[in-house]
Amino acid sequence: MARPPLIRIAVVGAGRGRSFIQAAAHPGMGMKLVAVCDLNPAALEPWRDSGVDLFTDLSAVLNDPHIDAVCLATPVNQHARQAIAVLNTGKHVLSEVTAAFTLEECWDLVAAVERTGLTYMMAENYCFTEAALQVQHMVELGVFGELTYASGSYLHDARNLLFCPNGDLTWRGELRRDFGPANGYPTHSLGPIAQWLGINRSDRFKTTATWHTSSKGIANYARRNYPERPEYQVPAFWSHADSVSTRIQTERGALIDLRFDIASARPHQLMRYELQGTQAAYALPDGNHPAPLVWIEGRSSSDPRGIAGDWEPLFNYRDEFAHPLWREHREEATKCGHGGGDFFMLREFAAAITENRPPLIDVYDAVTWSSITPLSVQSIAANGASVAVPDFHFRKP
Amino acid sequence: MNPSKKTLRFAVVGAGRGKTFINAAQSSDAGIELVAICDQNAASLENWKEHAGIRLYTDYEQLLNDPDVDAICIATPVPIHARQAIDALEAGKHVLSEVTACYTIEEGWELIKAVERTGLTYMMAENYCYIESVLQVQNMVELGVFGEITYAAGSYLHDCRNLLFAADGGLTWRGKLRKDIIANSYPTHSLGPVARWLGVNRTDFLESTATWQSKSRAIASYAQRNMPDRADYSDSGFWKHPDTTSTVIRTKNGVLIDLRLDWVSARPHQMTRYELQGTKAAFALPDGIGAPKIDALIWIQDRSPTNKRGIAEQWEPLSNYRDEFEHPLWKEHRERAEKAGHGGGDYFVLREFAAAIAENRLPLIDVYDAVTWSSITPLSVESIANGNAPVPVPNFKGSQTK
Repeated sequence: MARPPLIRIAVVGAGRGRSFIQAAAHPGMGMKLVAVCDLNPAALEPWRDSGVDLFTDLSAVLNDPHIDAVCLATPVNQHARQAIAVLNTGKHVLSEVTAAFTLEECWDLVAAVERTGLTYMMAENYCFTEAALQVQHMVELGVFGELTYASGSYLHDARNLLFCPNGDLTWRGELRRDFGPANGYPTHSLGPIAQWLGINRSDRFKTTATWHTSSKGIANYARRNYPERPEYQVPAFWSHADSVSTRIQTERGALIDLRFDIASARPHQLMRYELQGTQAAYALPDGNHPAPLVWIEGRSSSDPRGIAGDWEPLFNYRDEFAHPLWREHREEATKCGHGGGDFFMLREFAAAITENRPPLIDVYDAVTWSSITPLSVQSIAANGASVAVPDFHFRKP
Repeated sequence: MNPSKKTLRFAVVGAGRGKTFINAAQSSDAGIELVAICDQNAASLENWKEHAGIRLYTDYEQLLNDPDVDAICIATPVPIHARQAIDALEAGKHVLSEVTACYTIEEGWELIKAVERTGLTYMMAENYCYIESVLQVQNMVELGVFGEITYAAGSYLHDCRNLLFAADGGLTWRGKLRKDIIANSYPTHSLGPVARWLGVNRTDFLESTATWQSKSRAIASYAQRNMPDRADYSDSGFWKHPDTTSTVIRTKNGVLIDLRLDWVSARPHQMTRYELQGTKAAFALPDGIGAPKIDALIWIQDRSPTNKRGIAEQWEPLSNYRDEFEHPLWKEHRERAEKAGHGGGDYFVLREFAAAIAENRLPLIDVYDAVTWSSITPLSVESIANGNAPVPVPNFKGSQTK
């Protein structure tokens, strides 16, 4: 049987896009990088002599008939409109997180994918980390019993990314100034949880609510680092809340807690998760240290009645429960960036196109997870009341 | 004359949980004399028969009529705390109540009125407020090290399913409670320290709260394993109490508080898990997780490691700052506190209770704190019953300050 032709991919956004470009070049990925696009010509310099086409205008990518797929690594609030434009020119889309910023965009994105029949995947790399996938595998094998609770936190002091060297605001800075209090970046914490709970497969999100703190962190940072910009030092200049806390209840009665904080002075904890089942519990207190932990009824230490003793390292069970993807591709994956995430994402995206099937994180997952942002805006406007989560599989009501 | 020299004649109701108070009272240097123990179960008084000078009661009313008792420590089932406390106050006794203080809003108001009417001392024995790291953080907050507080979290995660069943397979009071109530039914261990750090009822007030719940599965699962002869217990519909609840509170100053309660899920316990975020410092007590176990952690602006833009790089052990910020109570009483059990909590609670009576002042955890913190239980019932709606927190201190 002939090998399928290489998928000719263009990456838009040369900054974040760099690690995609690296992963795309991996032999066996079935991809060929043919173009890089960035508004800023200087950002294209590293590829000047690489033989790929360089563009400073997205429409040039859209009009290029020799591009099959586009990876969007652009500012977050442009993802949905750009993805729809790309789909409308007959190209597949791999979108960086998050997929959409408004419910309108969510519905439009679903409609565009359904209309064109093309492949759309959201690049939520946290779903592909070794720990997240081993837990996923254990859930599927029934080790956790019935799932009742999960939590995820993304705590990352990213205030330095809000300012350009000359003191002006970056797009992130403008977003924190203008968008208002919201859970503005929910998919890193929610993605793995949604996979574990089988959201959009065997369960679905029913309602959600978000509560927020006041805004102090950014003004405080500006006072130290941009004393010449008095407007930045007024807390009210920033509509962003330091921290938000989101709840989601599922149709089958599981509860999810999410926390998002990118403006408080504290060491980062980008990957903090918990999962509770009737027969096992998982805890990733902080990304790397300590290592992910598990307690399994009947295996981990307990008293005679089954009351839990102590946690064990999750990877004590690697031989038995390693996810098939990691079992097969550990070596190649760890060579690529983001803890293997970029390798597995691109591989899955290529496989979904070649096999003409929905990718693991399809457009319904992408908009369901991303919808927490506009739903958090609604909930905060209603003083923390719960709001219904739409089912994006059905036509917009 | 030094009024603090007068000995406080102290009685404990509830010989089970009361045991640690009894021990703490007996070894106390705070001028407390244990004079009576009351338990409706005569068998649990057996061990005290040979102790001369300790009067034993099986009837609470008889204890209240004993004129030679000054103060009562209530260590009975949670749902009867408020009623017993009110009865004790009306009988002229000071009250030290185990957590939580009350189970309904009405009881909370009645308790406050009873304290205001009698002028007696009421304190809630929230021993988690006296944990060494909790008090060191308190000291640092008061010294301004945290800057302005924006966020706090507390979790009480403790698989207590073994306490729900009596030896004969019947339900204990705790078991009956899990059968009937959908609530954050035990909020004060997680909220108490947080409320103290935030200055709740002093410089800030709890404004609104909401609670979300998971389904109920864990108790049925435990019963299936341990009580195979009780088919009714193995049906998760039998148990109303959710496996876990997640509560949010907003304060008048805009601080957000997250609380989680889970005392039935199969998992290692984390009873004292806290976070505190200020504009200048952050605190995390992961509570016994990791190998080796992680201690209480702190990050302080201009002191802890940062990159060149001032972005935090890594936590430090809170104990790095013990010499500088150790709480005065711990500085003075470390040795005795460590001997007394519960991480020093019982020692400090009893000492504060006796001091408040002797000095005729409000104790550190007064009736307004007790009722405010405990009110999260009835308010969570109301929130859950209304689709997890936000509900206002009454200002229980209002009746006094008006």
